[in-house]
Amino acid sequence: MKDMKLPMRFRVLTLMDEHEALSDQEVFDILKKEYGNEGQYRMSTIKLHLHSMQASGLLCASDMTLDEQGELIETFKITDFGRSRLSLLPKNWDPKIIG
Amino acid sequence: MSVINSTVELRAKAQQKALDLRVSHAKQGLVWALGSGITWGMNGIILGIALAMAPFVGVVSLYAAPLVGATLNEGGGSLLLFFYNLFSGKFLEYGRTLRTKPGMLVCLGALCAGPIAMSGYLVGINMAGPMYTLAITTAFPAVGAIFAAIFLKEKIMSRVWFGIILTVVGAIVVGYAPPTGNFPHFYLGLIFATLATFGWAAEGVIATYGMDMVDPEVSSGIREATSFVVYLVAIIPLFGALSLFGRVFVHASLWWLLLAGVISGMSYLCYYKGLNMTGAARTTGLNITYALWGVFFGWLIMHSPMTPTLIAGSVIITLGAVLIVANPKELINIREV
Repeated sequence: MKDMKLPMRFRVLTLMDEHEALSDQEVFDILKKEYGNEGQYRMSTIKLHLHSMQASGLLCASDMTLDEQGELIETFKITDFGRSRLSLLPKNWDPKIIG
Repeated sequence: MSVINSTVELRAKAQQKALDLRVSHAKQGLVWALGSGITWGMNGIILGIALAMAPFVGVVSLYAAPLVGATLNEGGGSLLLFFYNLFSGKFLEYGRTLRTKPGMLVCLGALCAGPIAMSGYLVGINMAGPMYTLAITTAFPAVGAIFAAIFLKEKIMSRVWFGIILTVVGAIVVGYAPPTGNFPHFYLGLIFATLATFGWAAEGVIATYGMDMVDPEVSSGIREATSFVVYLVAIIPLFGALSLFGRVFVHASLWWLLLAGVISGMSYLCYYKGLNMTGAARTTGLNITYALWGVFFGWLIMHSPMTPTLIAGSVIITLGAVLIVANPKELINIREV
């Protein structure tokens, strides 16, 4: 069967557009259904995608706090600039087919 | 009151931690960019060893040897990156990326830099001589920075501009050779050299744009593979280098070329990660420090003499690189968007 999935980084951007804001852990959990059986499905990869898109201005920080262990929990949201890049999505791509 | 204070304190700590994380991300980008220059300098030395061996020695055509070298260089690089992506679980991303417009942009960047710029560079040397061609093509980071400021809206401080210009000047000093020979198509040669400059500068900007949405590790693999295929099916036959290409496979130089290719793959991995994490302007500026590393590895491996010109050029490049990387905090937001 033809693989209709987007490159994972592009999929993260579409997810951010579908939600008001998401933390790295939430992105990781949502993507499990689509990419969970692939070697690239790691928290470190998701975090790298989020931070790279943040540095490039496609995402921005929405909120941040520390958990009980003192670990940073960041929440991101898409910017208008990031939303403009969704025009590069393949025309036949539909998240419902994947989901 | 103490609850409010502790909430504010917690928030401040979280903000500081997030800031530290972003500065660390920017610093990592600068390290990748510098790594691309170090490995490219090493690649040049290994490629030089291979091209001084049979069957390249005594080849009359000016284009055939470097083009065959470049083809196998890209071939070795694409193999390395294919296995790298295979073992890091990103194999399926190749097909997915190629079905998107950002993936096509990565291929376009590969065409600009590999076959177009490299051919322009070689034809430029043939028509206008190495000195002028080198001086024009070495300016690619400065042209890349102008493109990055216009098309990517990258924030480039005056200090960074100065650093980029210094690295360009230093690279010209390192590669300087007095003009010799008679060149009846001199101005046409300068046009080809300019084409090469624009090709290399365009790759940085086009690839950076594409990699906003696709993985840089996969992109570098696609870049090397695209360039290799175009060299193989178009450039090598076009420049009449097929026979030489076939002869390489029965000589020991093949192994040196494949080693150079593996180092080239590492260099492109570093370059694309740098482009994505720290922007096109700074990455191209740090990539050109390969001229400095080439001098260093040439001295270390080939025992090449250190002339005053080489030392002066190396010092200028180092100063330029220091100015480029001076304040990673500026890179928390790469662009003015």
